[in-house]
Amino acid sequence: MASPFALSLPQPLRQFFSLFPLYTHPPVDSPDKALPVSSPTLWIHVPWSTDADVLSSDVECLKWQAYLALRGLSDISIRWDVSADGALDNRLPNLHIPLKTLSGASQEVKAQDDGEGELLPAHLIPEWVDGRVGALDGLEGYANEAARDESRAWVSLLEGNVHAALMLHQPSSLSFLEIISPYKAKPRSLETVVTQPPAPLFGISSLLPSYGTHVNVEAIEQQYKEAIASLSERLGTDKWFLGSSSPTALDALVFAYLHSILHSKEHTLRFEVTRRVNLVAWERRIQSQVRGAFRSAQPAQPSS
Amino acid sequence: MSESKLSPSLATSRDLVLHIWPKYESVLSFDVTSFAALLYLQLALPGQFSVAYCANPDLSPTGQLPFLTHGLYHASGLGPIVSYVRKLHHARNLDADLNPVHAAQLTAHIAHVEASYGDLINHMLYSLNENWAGVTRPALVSMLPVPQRYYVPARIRNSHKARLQAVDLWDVPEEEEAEAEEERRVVFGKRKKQKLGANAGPLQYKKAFEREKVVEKAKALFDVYDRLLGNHQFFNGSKTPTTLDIIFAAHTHLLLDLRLPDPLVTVTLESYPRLVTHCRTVVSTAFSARAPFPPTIQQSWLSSLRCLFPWARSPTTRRTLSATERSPEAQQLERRYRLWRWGFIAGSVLATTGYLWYGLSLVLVQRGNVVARLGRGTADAVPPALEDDDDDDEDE
Repeated sequence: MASPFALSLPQPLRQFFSLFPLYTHPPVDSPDKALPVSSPTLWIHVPWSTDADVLSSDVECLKWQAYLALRGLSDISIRWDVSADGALDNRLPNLHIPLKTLSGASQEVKAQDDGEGELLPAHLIPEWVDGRVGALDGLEGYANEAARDESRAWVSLLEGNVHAALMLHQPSSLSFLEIISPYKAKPRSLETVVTQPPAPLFGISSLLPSYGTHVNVEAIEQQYKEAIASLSERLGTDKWFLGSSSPTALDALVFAYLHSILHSKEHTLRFEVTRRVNLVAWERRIQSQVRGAFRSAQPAQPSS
Repeated sequence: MSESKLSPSLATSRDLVLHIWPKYESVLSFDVTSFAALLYLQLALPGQFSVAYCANPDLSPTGQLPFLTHGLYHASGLGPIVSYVRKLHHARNLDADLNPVHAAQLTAHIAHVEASYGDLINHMLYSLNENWAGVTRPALVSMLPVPQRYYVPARIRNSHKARLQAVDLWDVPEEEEAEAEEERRVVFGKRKKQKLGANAGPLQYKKAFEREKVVEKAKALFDVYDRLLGNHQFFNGSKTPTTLDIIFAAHTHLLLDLRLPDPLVTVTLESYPRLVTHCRTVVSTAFSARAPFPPTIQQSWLSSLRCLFPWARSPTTRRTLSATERSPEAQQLERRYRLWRWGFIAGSVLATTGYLWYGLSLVLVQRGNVVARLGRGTADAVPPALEDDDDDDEDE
C-alpha cells in the first residue's frame, strides 16, 4: 500500500465514492436480546421434573453437573431451554461463564461488568474449574498411581457396558414434529458404544444394502449385570470410590450413571442397582450435595 | 430323533463347536475376539471341543463371530461364551483364585482392554489405508467365496466407521483425496502442480498430528497394563492365566504376528518387552504339548448364492457339520433316512404324474373328438358309432 508503485484511486472516483452510503437506516430493536450473564450457567437437557429438580435427565449433562458440584463449586444456575443443536458441537452441556471468571482474563476484563460471557464446550470445563478452584495434582485426586490406572478401567466399564444398557432401554419418543424438522440433533447410536460392531439387520452378505443393526440384547444385559455387581463389590463401604479421600471425576461419573439408572423406566435396569444397598445409599448421599450446588434460572412458566 | 440310536461318545464332547474366523498366515484367527474365545476354551476345556473355521458371520444367531454351539444351545459373542463355559460343570474356572475385589477389578480391566485396545487394533486394520489395502482386504478376500468377496470386505470396513469416528481414530482420507481430484480436474495446465503443492503441506502436518495422537493413546494404555503386570508372569501376580490375561494376549498376538505394512501401534508395543513376553507365555501355556490344538472342522461355504438373500437360519442344523465327523452308524442311519426321504418324494411325484396323466388322457380322449371335428371341418363327419358311445358315456 505504501509503495510508490501501488495504484491509488484517482480523485474524481474518490469523490464519487464518498457520496455513498446514501441513507443509513436506524438500528432495529429486536425483542430477543442476549441476557447478561452474571453467574456461570450450565446449559443442560431437561430435568426429570422441571419444577422440583435441577438434575438433568441426560447422563452426560448430569456427569458434568456432578463434576462441578464435587469439585466444590456452588451457586451455578442452569437452563434447559436451549436445544442440542444450539450448543457447541451439537452436544450439551455447555457452560456459559462471565468473562471475568476466565483464568487468563486480564485486569480490565475482570473489572468490567457488562455481562459479556464465553461459552465453553464440555471438554473445556475441567480447565475452567482448575482456574477457579485450583489445579489437581498429577494423581488427579486418587489415592495412588494404581488407583488412577484402575479409574481408567472403571471409566471405560461405565461408558461402555452400562451406557450401552441405558441406551438400549431408552424410550425413543419420535413425535411428528421431530421427523419433519430440519434441525436434527442426532443422538449417539448404540454402535458407537458397543465394542464389536453389530451386524446389519439382514445379514452382512445379503443383497440388500446394510440397514439397521441387530443388537445382541442378551449380551448387553448380561455385561451390564456383571458391571453393576463388580461396581458394588468395589465400592464396598468406602466413602469415595477406590478409597480416595476426596471426590474425584470417577465419583461424578458413577453418580451420574446410578442416578440415571434409578430414574429409568426399565425395571430390569433399576432392579440391579436397587438390589445393592451400598450403591443406593452412596447415590443418595451424593445427591443432596450435587443438588445443593445448582439453582434453577428457569422460571416456572417460561415466557415466550 | 436320531440321537437315541447314536453312540454316547458323540453326545458330549464333539457337540461343543466353536465357530471362529479362519486363520491367516501366522495368526491363529483373524479376529481378536475369536482368538480370545479360542484361548479361553483351550484353557478351560482342553481337548473337549472342536473348532470350525467359518467366514460367514450370518450363520451366527446374532450375526457376529465368534459363536459357540453345544447341542441345541448356542452362545454368540465373547461375553456370553465365557459365561456359558463357566456354568459347565466340567470346565475349569480360570478366575477361581481371585478374591472378590480382584474379580471386580478384573471386570473393569476387561472392559477397558476390549474398548481401548480393540479400538486401536481396529484402527490399525481398518482405518490405515496401507494396512487395509495390503493385508486386511486380501485376507478377507481369501476367506470369502466369489460373490461375497466383492462387497463384504467394504461392508465390514464401514461397520467399524461409526465407533472409530466417535473415538477419533478414523482418518480414512477419502474427503481430502476427493478434493484434490476435483482441483486437478478443474485447474489445468501448470497451475495444477502449484495447487497440489500448497495443499500437501497442511495435509502432511495433519496426518503426522493424527498419528502422534494414536501413538499417545497407545502409550497411555500400555503404561497402565505394564504397571499392572509388573514383574509377574500374569496380571495380578496369579499363577495361571486369568480372563484378563487371555483377552490382553489375544490383542497383542494379533498385533505382533500379523505383519502390517504400517506398524504404528506395533512399534509402540514392542517398546514394552514385558507385555510381549506376557503374550508369548499365555499362548504357549494354552497350546502346550499336553493340550494340543483342537480338531478343526473346515466348513466349505457351499451355498454362497443362497447367502445373498436374507434368510432366517438356525446355526445348529446338523447338516452344517461335514460327513467325515460322524461315526459309521450315524452315517448309515443318515443314508437310510436319505433313501426313504427321497424314495417317498419320488414315489409321490410318480403317483402325481400318473394320476394327472390318466386324467389328462381321459379328458383328451373326449376332447379329441371335438378337436378332430374342428380340424376336419364339417365335411368329414365323425362316424355315428363314436357319437353314440359318447352319449352313452355321458348318460352313464
